[in-house]
Parts: sequence; C-alpha cells; structure tokens
Amino acid sequence: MIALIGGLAALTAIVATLIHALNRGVRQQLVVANPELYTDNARPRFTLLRLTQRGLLLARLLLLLVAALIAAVTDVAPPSATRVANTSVAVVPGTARAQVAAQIAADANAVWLDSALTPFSAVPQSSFEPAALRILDANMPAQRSLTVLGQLPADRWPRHGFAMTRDVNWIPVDGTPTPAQQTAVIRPTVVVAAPVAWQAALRDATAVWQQAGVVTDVRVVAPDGVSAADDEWLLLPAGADRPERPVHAVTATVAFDALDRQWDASQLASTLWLALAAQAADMPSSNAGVAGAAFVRVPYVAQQLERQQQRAVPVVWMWLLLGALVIERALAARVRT
Amino acid sequence: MTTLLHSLLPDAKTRERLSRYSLAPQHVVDDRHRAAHLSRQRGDGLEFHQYRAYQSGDDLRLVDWRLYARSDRLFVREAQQESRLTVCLLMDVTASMGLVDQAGIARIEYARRIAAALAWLAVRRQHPLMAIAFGETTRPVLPAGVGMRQLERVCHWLAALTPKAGWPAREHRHRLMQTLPARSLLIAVSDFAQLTDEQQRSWQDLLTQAHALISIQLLLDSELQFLQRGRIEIVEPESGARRLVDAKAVADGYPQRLQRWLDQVRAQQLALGARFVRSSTSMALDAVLSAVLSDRRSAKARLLVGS
Repeated sequence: MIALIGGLAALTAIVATLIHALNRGVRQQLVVANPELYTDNARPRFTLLRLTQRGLLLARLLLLLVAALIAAVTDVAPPSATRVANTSVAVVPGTARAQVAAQIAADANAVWLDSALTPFSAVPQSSFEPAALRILDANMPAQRSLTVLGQLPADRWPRHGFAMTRDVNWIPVDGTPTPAQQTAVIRPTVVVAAPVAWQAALRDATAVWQQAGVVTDVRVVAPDGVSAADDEWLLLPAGADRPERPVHAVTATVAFDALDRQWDASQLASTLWLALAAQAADMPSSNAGVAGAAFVRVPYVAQQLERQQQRAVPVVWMWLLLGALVIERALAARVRT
Repeated sequence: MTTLLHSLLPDAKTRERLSRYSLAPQHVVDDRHRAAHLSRQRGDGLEFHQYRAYQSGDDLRLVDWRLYARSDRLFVREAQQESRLTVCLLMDVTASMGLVDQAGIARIEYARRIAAALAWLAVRRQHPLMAIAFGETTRPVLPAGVGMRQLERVCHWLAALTPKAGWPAREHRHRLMQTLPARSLLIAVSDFAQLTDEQQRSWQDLLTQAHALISIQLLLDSELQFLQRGRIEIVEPESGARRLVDAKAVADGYPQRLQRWLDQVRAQQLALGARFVRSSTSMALDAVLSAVLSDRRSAKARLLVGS
C-alpha cells in the first residue's frame, strides 16, 4: 500500500514537475529598473497549465503525506497474522525429513542450521549441518543461491562429505544470531512437524503461549497435515515414502511482539521446543536418524530482501522524484539565465 | 598610466578631442549661480584673457604664432579659466545600475567610463575632483583632490563601485550633502529610476545642493523598447519583488508609460537647472561626452535616445 501510494505520489510529482518545467519554460524573467513601466493592468490569468500544475502539486503533497502516515502507522502496529510467514522452525522426525526438506527447500533461500533445536539430542555440527544442507541442496531449485547461518564454516563442509552445488553465502552463527543477523526476525512463523501423540500436548502448549501473549493466533492443522491455509507446509504428501509413524503438523502462527520482548527466532524456537518436549510424554528420547533433518528455516536474507524490495519501490520512486526535481531546477535556472 | 586608468579612460584620440572642451562651460553654470563661482583666474579656458611668456611645459597649441612672428618671442594665450569649481561625480550605485544590456555591458560599467572621462577632463582643467556614491556602499565619498594622483584615486574608486540594493539612510544622505563644497559642479550619472517619493526627494535634495549640475541618464536598449513575448516574470532588483505579467498587455501601453516617465525625469532635471543628457549604453562614448560637454546654449536637454 505504501509503495502504491508512494509510487502514485512520485508519479504525480514527476508529472507536476514536468508541467512546472514546461510552465517555467514559457516564462521569461526580466530584471527591470523601473517596474512601474511593466504593468499589464491585470493579474496573470490562471491558465489550465497552472491549474494542472497546482493540482498535481497538491496531489503530490497529499499522497506523500498519506504514504508517510501509513508507513508510520504500519511500523508501530502489532504484526498481523498475514505478515507472519517468514521465520519457520521445522522439526522433522524420521523418514519424513526428505519430504519436509523438499517442502522447505522449495522456497527457501536462507537456512539457519541449529542442531540444538533438534528434539532428540544434541547432534554434532559436523554431521548435522552437512546432512541438512545435503537435503536442502538436493531439493532446492537449481540456480538458487542460499544463505546459510551456521557454525560449521563452509570451507569445512567438503571435509564432511558435502559440497554445495550452488552459490552459498555462509554467515557464521554460533548459537543465537547476533542482533544484526536477527534484525529481520521479528515475526516468525513456527512450523513444527511432530508425532500425532504430541498433538494434545501441542494444543496445551500453544494455549499456554497464547495466554502468555507469546502467541496470538493458534491454528492446528488437520491430523493428516493438510491445511488450506498452510498447504505450503504440508508435511505429509501422499506417497510410498510415508513415515513410520504418523506425523501431524501443527502450525502455530506466532505473532508476538519481538520488539518488546527482544526475542529472536532462536529463543522462540527453543521455547517452542522446550515446551513441546516437556509436555510430550511420549517424546522419543533419542533418534540419531533424524540428524540433519532438523531445520530451522530462517530466511533472514529472504525476509530482508523482501523488505528491501518493499522499500525499494518507494525508494525508486523517490529517486525519480528527486531526479525530476533536479531537472526542473536546472530548467528553471536555464530559463532564468 | 596604470592598467586600471588605461582600461577606464578613453583612448588618446578621444582624450585629445575631450581636451578641447571646458568642463564647466559658461552656459552650464549661468543657469544657476552665475556670479557665484566665476573668478578671474587664468587658465586654458575658452575666453581670451591675456598673453604671458612661454614657459617650459606649456601646451604648444596655446602659443600665439603670429605674435611670435612679429615679436620673435614665444607668448601663450591665457584664457579666463573657470574658477576652482570642484567637480563632483555623483554615481548612482543602486541595484538597477547593475543591469546589463543586450551587448553584455552593465549600466554601471558604462557609467564608470563616462565618469572616468569627465574626471580626466576635470584633472586636466585643474579642477578639484571628488566623487560620491549614492547607494549602499562602503566608501560613499572620495574627498576632493587634484592632479593625476587624484585621477588614479577616482578611477580606483569607480572600479570598486558595486551596484547593490538599498538606499542611503536619511542621516547618511545629509552627510553626503554636507560633503559638497560651496562651489561645485555636480555630474550625476544614473538611470534616474528612483522609485519612491522619498527616494525622489533624496536624490533631488542632493542635486539641489550643487551650484551647477549635469545629469546624465543612462538607459538600456531593452528599456527603450519592449520586445518580449509570452508570460514575463518582472523582477525588481532593489527589493527582489517579482510578479507575473502578460507581455502583450505590457507592450500595449509600454511606449506611453515609458514616455511619461522619461518626460517626468527630464522635467525634474531641467527644473533643477541641470544640463540633462540622456543616452543609452549602446551609444558611442564620444557621442555622450560630446553631448555633455558641447556648448549648446539653446538645448539644455540633449536626448541621444528617447524623445
């Protein structure tokens, strides 16, 4: 909306500026010693050109004002459910990991690898990260670059039997990403794929989060994992490669005020998982087989890019506006001289 | 001669022509205070006074060769010289003097050249010479002096004049008037585009102080005819005020308004007893100087442009 209004404002400004320049272009400036000689006995008429120019100038100001107001309001407003879609935690047990990885990788362009988030045990980075990346790499569309936030340096991946087939931007993250790395992570969506037995516990947990104000909207998808709203996160596609145990997806759309709580995705994910772990009575104690299948999908870069693109639209328009103003000034100066 | 003098003063040929003129010919001062300023001081004026023996350095043109043929001695003719009338250049340096004509000559630049030429003549005629700037300037008065050094000082002073918006404060105007010597020939160079009644009065008050007055009105060609088309933004240099006008509507009555103004200026100057010369910056300097200095008793106003 801001981009639209800002764009309209800038477009209006450009048109107004061009008309203004045109208007200036037909006006000569005359410095005179005796102005009384130059009376035309009538004020200059408001020509259509001038009226148009003034109207457009007014429209430009109004539109810019509205855009600024909307931008200001939007920045302080609580996050809405529709905007919660960027940071996801996916925990994939068992054999479902390939499908989940495929789902995640389909649109991921950044991944935060944190083995501490795995529900089963602390998995060594040296085995977890390459394994997770291998799955991602195999499932991501070709040519797409990937930003990886992890502990294991990229140059050590080959040593662990893995090499990316795409451009990778590796950002070292030891534990929780730094504030600079977290800047974009303020409204995460957490997607957790968990055994069906956890469903009740998840309901309770999310209810607790909701009461605590951490979660404002909790939606539990159908037991088979199909959700009209969250089909992007369909974790159990039909096929032969079904997990040995049913996996249900619970999507907790979390809209919490991270700005106030200073939480980042890591904290959120940890909180989610700890809550889950504590309440899930039949949580497997160990499952080394899931190593590499725990993803924390934190598309920092994607989110930042998206935001930059959102900003870029008005920014481009504003540059155009500035350019138009400069041209107009130059024309005016030329006319004057 | 310094570079500055060289650049401001007319060329040698023009100076030679100038040297034939008296700066304050009889008719100029006759109209006002006829008896007040004349003395029997000898010099190289126009009316014969007496012979005296030739001295080294005398102008050979003043030698009476017929008398030499008769007496075999060199005598020079001494004419009655004007009294030691102080010549005061009054330069308008208000903002409108900074306007530039189509040829790129600023009105103040043209005024400087006229003033420098007249200053040269004043020094040549051994008149004390002083200068006053009328406007906002850091050095409004150059005290009277004589000789080539004074000419140099005047030329430097002229060169430093910068037209600027503003008008002297009342006290300052009084001081300017008090600086005028008792016997003075005031040569005012201006566009006479003073606007307010107060400005008009101030200017006239100053001119009234002089015993003799030559007023030179300098116009730009663009002021003499209005050729613009379309919408014009009129800018007043003194105040910076702007307004939009329609050129066609302006052009309709411009000649009449211009004529009224020119008539008004001329009438005012003549009422002050001035010798009035109107020129434009496109006129040859010779023509203007000739109009200022030539002896035309019948024509108090010389209008090189306008009517």
